[in-house]
Order: sequence, then C-alpha cells, then structure tokens
Amino acid sequence: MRTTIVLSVCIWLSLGMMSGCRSEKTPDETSKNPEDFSFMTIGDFTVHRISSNWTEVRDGAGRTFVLIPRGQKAPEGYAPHQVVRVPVRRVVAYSPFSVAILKALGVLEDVLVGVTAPRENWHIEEVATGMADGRIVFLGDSNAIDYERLKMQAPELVLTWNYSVIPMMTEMEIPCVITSTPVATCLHARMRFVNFLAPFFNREKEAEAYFTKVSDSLETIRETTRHAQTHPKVMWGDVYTKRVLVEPGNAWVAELVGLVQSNYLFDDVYGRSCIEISLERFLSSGRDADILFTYRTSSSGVTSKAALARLNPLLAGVRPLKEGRVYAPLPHYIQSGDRLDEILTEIAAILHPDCYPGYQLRYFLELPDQDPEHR
Amino acid sequence: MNGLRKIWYWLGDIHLTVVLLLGMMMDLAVGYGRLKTHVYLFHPLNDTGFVKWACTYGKMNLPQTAWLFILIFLMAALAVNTFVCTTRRVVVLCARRKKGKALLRLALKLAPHLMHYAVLVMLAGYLVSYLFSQTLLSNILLPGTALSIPGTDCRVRLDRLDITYYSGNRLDYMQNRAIDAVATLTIRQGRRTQSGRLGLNRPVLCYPYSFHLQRFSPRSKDGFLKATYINLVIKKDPGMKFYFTGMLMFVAGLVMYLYDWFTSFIAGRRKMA
Repeated sequence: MRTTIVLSVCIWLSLGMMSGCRSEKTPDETSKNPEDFSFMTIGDFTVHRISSNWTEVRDGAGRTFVLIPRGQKAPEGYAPHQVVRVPVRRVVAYSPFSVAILKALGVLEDVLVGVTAPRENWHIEEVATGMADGRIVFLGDSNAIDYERLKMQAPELVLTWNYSVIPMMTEMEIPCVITSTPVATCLHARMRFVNFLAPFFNREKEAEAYFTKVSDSLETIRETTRHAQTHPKVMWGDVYTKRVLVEPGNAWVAELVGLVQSNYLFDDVYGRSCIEISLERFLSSGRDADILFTYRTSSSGVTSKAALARLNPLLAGVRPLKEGRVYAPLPHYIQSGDRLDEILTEIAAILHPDCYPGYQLRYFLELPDQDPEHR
Repeated sequence: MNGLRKIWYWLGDIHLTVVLLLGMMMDLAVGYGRLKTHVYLFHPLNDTGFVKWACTYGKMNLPQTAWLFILIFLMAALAVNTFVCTTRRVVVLCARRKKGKALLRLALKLAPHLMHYAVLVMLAGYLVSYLFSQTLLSNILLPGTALSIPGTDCRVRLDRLDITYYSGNRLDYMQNRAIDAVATLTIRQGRRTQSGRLGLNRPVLCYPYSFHLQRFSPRSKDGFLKATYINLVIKKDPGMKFYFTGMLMFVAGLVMYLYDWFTSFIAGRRKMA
C-alpha cells in the first residue's frame, strides 16, 4: 500500500511539473528566434530543420516537401515534385497574401513570374511594373489556368490554395505548395507565415525582421488599448444571395478583436475562413453589434450603408447599419500582407477611436449613411 | 525469486489500479484543456505517426503535449496491471479446477478474463496503429486520372464522380448545394483489380490499404470553385487486425459471461422451487 501511495504522489508531481500552467500563447513563445528552432509550427504549417542543408516543410494540406540547396543530392524517399531546390528562383503565386509576403521577404521582383489576377487588379507596384515589363505573366483566372503559359514561365515553385491543380503540377514535376489551411489561421500563424516561406528563399533573417515588426506593433496595440473605456461588439462577414459568410472565432481577426478589449460576436463559430453560418444567427448577432466589417469592397457597389442595404435588404436590419459603424476593405487591403503591422493598428484604431485620436484610415473605408449623390 | 514474486503481486495490485485510474482521470482533465486550445498540435498525430510526432510537435511543445506522454505511460502501466491481475486469477482458477469437472464450466468462469485480454489486444492495436500506420494526405484525383501509391505497384483511378445536389423546395439556402458524393474508383495492385464506390462515410478497402474521401469539389453548382476533383486520404493500418481480433474476443467473452449468468440464474430458480 505504501508503495502505491508513493507512486501516486510521483504521478501527481510529474503531472504538475510536465503539464505546466502556461497560457495558450505566452510572449516568450512568440518572441523566440527561429534560428533556435529545429522544428517550428505555424498553424497547420511546419518547418523542420533536419540539418543545415535539409529542411522539411509541411504545407496547409499536410503534404511534405524537402528543401535542398542547389547542386546537392536530395535525400531518398521523396518524389521529384516534393523536392524544392533553394533558393527558389521562379515562383507562381495565386494568393495576394503570398505575393505580399514575397515582398516582405524582399524577393518579389526577383522571383515572381506568374499571378492569377490581371494587371489592373494589382496595387503592388512591383507586380504592376513586372507585368508591364512582361516578366510577370497573368496566367488566367485561378479556376482556369493556362497551363501552356505556366509551363513557358518555367516556375520552380507554385504557391496555391487550389487543390485541383495538384495533379497537373505533379505531372509537370513542379512542387506545388498549398498556402491555405482547412481551418482559419490564428493571429500567431498569420504573423509567422513569413517563416514558412522564408526557407524557400534563404531569407530567414528578413522573415524574423518582419515578424519582430508585427509583434512589436501588436505589443504597442495591447498597451494602447489596455485601458479602453468601450468594449465594442464586432462582426466580420457578409450576406450574399442565399449565403452568409463570416470569419470564425478561430480566425486571426477574431483573435485580434479579443486582444483589444472588444467582443467578437462569432467567437463560438469554429472552422475555415469565410465560413458559412445561418442567416438567423447572423441577424441575431447583428441586433447587438456595434461594428460590422464587410468582405465587399466599393468596386462591388458597397459605397454606403444604404447601398449595402440595397444590395441585400436583409442586412438593413442589423444594428451597425442603423446606428453603428460599417467598414469595407479598400481594394489594396488584400494585397497589403507585408504591412500587417499597419493593418492590425488600423483595426485597433477602428475599434477604439478614442485611443487613436486623429487616426487616418488607409486600409478600410467607413461607409457613410448615404452615397454622396443621395445626401 | 521471492523478490520477483513480490513485484509480480505488486504489479497486479488493485490499489495500483485505483491509483492509475485516478492518475489517468487527472491527466485527461489536463489534456482536455490542452487539446481544446491547441488542436493544431494534435491533429497531425492522425497522419505523421507517433514517433515522428513525438520527435517534432511533441518534443517542441512539451508544456502542451506532456499530458499525452504521461497518458501513454499510465495506459501502459494499466495494461501491465490488468494483464498481471487477470493472469493471476486465471492461474488460480485453473489450479482450483476439480478433476472430473467439465471443461466448459472452467471456460465459462474465464469469460471476464477473456474480456480483459480482449481490451489489452485492442490497446495493443492502437499502439501498433500509432507506431506503424502509414497515412497519405491530399491525394487529388480528377475524373479519368490516376495516381500511384509511392513505393508500391498500387494505382488508384477515379472513373467517375457523382455529386447529388439539393433540389427540394423546403430549404431554400440549400438549393444547388451538394448533399452527397459517390466516387467510383478502380484500384490496381499487381494483377489484382478492384472497383469500389467511395462516399464520405463509406471508405473503400483494398488490403492492406483503405481509401477515404476527405473532400470533393464542386460543393455547389453556382459556387466559386468549379473544378471537379476528390481529395483522398490513403491509409495502411496494421493495427486494424488487432482491433477486430480484440472485438471478437470481447464479444465471445461477453456471450460466455451472459450464458454463465443465465444458467446460474435458472439453476438458482430451480433450487428455490
């Protein structure tokens, strides 16, 4: 009996010591130098430094790739489409966020050779110039890629969210990395995504500088809003024809809203980014909301609250349209991932204007009640 | 020899069982919290295998993952405890068997112990799965295309994909949305060819592999994603044999136990009468 008591004490002690009582993301966890990591998790992405010339990465779809310096032999056990020679010299990127991260790494002008949006849609100067020069090519809509053109561009890496291109890329022996994840990325993963792309270009130092910049801005935001007097209720989403899409509670925007003394009204929703919920739920949360962030930009006709209500009369009933505030992203917002620090600060300033007196919006537009001509 | 006997008895001690179960309860309570807040750390356990997971996710995030290592230790200890305890009882029952008594009677008395052994076999199956199973994620197949399982001569082809879209009147928001998908696969392994109909909760088994439908596209007739494809998860799980053996053993033990209980009950009623 005595032995079992001793054993039980040992078990309790080991449980206490091993499990610890740390919170989900402590500051020291996010401020570690990536050079210290032999293995780093970035949401669903991972970077595993097996040796100085062998890095294994796992993309958003759970597929494994091995990064090998040029001229060195690839380890056995990997198919040709899993082997990426680094630094990568030619890249095709689908998502504007991936393109913006290439800019943050300082490789955009050197490596980007193909995109899936036409020239007039680009607000990143380097991309617009590259397309004008013919260095960067519009490969067609993301659902209808011109593979002949893609082949001519001879990319060494394709960064995409579209799973359906994987078989074709595999056949062409081009490594195709999925940059989206089945569930929305948290704030930490959004900030650290740069560390996932960095080893492809040997730009770990630039990635760390970017992360430190965003991390510092987040710390400043927390300090600035720590004693905020108001706690606005926020919803982020939109009602489309027969569909209601919102950002779930596990998304980075929801996490940011919580960090700045505000309440995110879809905190209990879990899943992928732009997740579908019922109209009843949206309208029910809309009765309490103070601020609504829409997905739609002014180019889709969202120029005022009245215009938004005209596009979807059901939305007219939510409180932000009647007596609250509504914000629409500006067209360049989606392509500004390299300035994540500024975006985070702007969202904080929108939620707590009293903490940021005189702040000028750069990424969002506060919708007026009526369009100018109707005033 | 006396020392070994002491250890043997201590390992099968009921007090140890209680301590281990309490330890597991506490550990699982901690684990529940860790699992809820760090899903992304534990999700890869499904496909990387335990050893690789332990060396990467587990080792680098010890404050969040330690409970799982402790749980495995506690479960291993409980398995040893159950084995020793049950084996001790089996030995005693066999030793006490009176000469001339029917073998069936002894077998029925062993029923609860058979169920205990069955649980151990199932636990061993989980261990084998975590250690030796192979999972291949994100295998995309377009209609008419095929892919090979790396390192084998097994080739899977998607012959056709039938997606059923909602077309009723009751749920307006479901109009043109996918409600079911059935993929027809042809699997070639050497000279063997097998066809199967794959659904969301209907995997196709082709020993030693199983094919699971993770997702399909397009999910909506008027949606943004228009490409037609399926995303397959291919698994090779040697632990399955253990689960099924354990389940069969458990069912056999349960039937024997119920038979024994029922015959004893009838005999008791007869005596009373």
